[in-house]
Amino acid sequence: MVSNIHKISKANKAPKISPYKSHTLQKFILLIFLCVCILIIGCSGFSGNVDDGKRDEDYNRGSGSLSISFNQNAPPARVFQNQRSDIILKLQNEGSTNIRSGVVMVSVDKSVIELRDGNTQYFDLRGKSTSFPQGEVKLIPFNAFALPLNVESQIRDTNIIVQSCYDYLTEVITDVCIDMDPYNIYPNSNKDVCQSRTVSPGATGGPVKVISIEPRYSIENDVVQPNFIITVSKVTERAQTIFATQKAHLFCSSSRFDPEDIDKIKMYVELSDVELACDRSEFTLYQNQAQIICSGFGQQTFTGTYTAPLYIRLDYGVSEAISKKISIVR
Amino acid sequence: MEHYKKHLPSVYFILMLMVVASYVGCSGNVSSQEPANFRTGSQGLDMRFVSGNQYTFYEGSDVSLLMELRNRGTAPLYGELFLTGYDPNFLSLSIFPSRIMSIEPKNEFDPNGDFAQIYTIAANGVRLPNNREKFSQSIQVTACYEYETLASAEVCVDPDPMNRRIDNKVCQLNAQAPGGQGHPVVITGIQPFVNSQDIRFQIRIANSGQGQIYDKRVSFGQCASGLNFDQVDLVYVRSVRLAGRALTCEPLNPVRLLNGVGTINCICRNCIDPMQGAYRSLLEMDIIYNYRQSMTQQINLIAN
Repeated sequence: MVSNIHKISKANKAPKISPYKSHTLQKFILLIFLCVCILIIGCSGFSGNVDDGKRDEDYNRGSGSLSISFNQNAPPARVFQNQRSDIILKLQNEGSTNIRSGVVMVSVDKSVIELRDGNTQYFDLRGKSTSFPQGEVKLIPFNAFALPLNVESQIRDTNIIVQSCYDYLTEVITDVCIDMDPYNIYPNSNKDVCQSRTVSPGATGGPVKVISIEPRYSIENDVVQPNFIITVSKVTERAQTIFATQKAHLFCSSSRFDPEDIDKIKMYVELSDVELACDRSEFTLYQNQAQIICSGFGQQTFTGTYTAPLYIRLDYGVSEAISKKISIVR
Repeated sequence: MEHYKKHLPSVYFILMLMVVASYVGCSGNVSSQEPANFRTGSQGLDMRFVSGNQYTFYEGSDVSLLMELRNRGTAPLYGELFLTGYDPNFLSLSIFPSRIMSIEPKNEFDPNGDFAQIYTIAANGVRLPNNREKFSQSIQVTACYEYETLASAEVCVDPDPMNRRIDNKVCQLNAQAPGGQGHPVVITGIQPFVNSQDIRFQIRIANSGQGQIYDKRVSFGQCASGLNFDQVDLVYVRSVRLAGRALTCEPLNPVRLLNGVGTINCICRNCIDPMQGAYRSLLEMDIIYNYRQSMTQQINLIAN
């Protein structure tokens, strides 16, 4: 009986695969696996590593400049007297302009908080680009110390005010249509290439933006001169102060600041890489806006239109303040 | 005998093949022997860029674009090519050859006008504007050329249009619209009028092409730099003939088209023989003019 069972179990066993056959099967499975891998890789196209075609000028968008905030719990909302409590500022460049020699100044009530390493620091921050798509971020610490409270005080509320000042620039890189027959003197002027009309560059980076570029033409002795009326406006979404460029160290200090430097902007314009003559190279915003007229170079009239590159650069200083209320307890 | 029987199927197969081959060979392609009617359409010059051209160029590289020109009309074509539409500060383009040297028109052997001439647009070392990493430019190719409308239509010459006599007429005096016969200026209508001695044709012509008609007296160079309003939409009627006999036409040359349409009146004096019955005849019209048409292509310049 036992021998019979042994025989049956032997008979039910799967047929043994020879070592040669097993080796071939392994090779076959490996081959199929490789094919599947090639298919998956081929279809996905390694999209993560392929250059998405973005160039640095593509980051020249938006109205962002410097974003400044208190780092989490630095300083905390409540601090004890006689305690060190660092103020850490998080600075991020959300625009495309590199910030050089920016100033950050912390103002405190000196009777309750002492800034032991001074209240001013300088910083550089790289702007957004293909190598820094998010913009550079820096943490700037200030060594703050909560002074002892008066004997009659149990708690004292105080504000920490942080002011940033830096030079910034707005660059408009756009194409404009130059129409050599703007008044349609010639029939069938070839105008399929482009239409000369007002350009609205939209968000061009920075808190000052160019809202429109309106072409105007003057003709004298068959020479056509393109002119542009450029309207500049301040972005009012954030409470930022605009001031003359290269005055950041003065604006973020206790020095006296010339009120005429407020809202002052310097402008440079190029058409086809040739500098245009503008009615003012420096101007002051009036009710957050300004209009400047720039004249191009004259050309002999001929029918047709062409697209030319227009470059506008606005140089100015920006200042912004943030504050945090903290309580000092005994 | 057994040996022959064995090979009989092969013999039948070869015979069948020979029958099929002889049928195919003898039937021929009868339709291909008929002359193709190539005198159709309202195109003159057909310009296009060669497929396979690259339109994106790195800064510092040379631009080279090939374009092909075909004569889709029935008249010989002479003219010049000009390039505009780009900022000369960044592109210094030239076209070679700039002169269009007689492109063969459509004919019975090339009924679609597929014969092409190749032209090269080139620029050395393209430059990007300052502060730019990419820049688009348009290249507009304008062709100014001489062209000719040689059109014909069968017209009915009926000396008795009011049917005062009882007659079996072979044709009726009707208006007709010949349409495009292989040129951009098309005869859109012919209206005959008959009196006792003369037959008059009111011939309507129209610009059915994509371009602009302009005066033959204007040079090709001026065509590129700009035409005035008094230089466009002018054609010259070289001849209008009825059965080989020259007709007198009005207005005198040049004939102005208004909104692309013009009318000429041509009269054949003493052409009507009252004793003759109605008959079909051939009206031939020869109109000459200059023509301008353009084509635009965008190219992209990118930084290295």
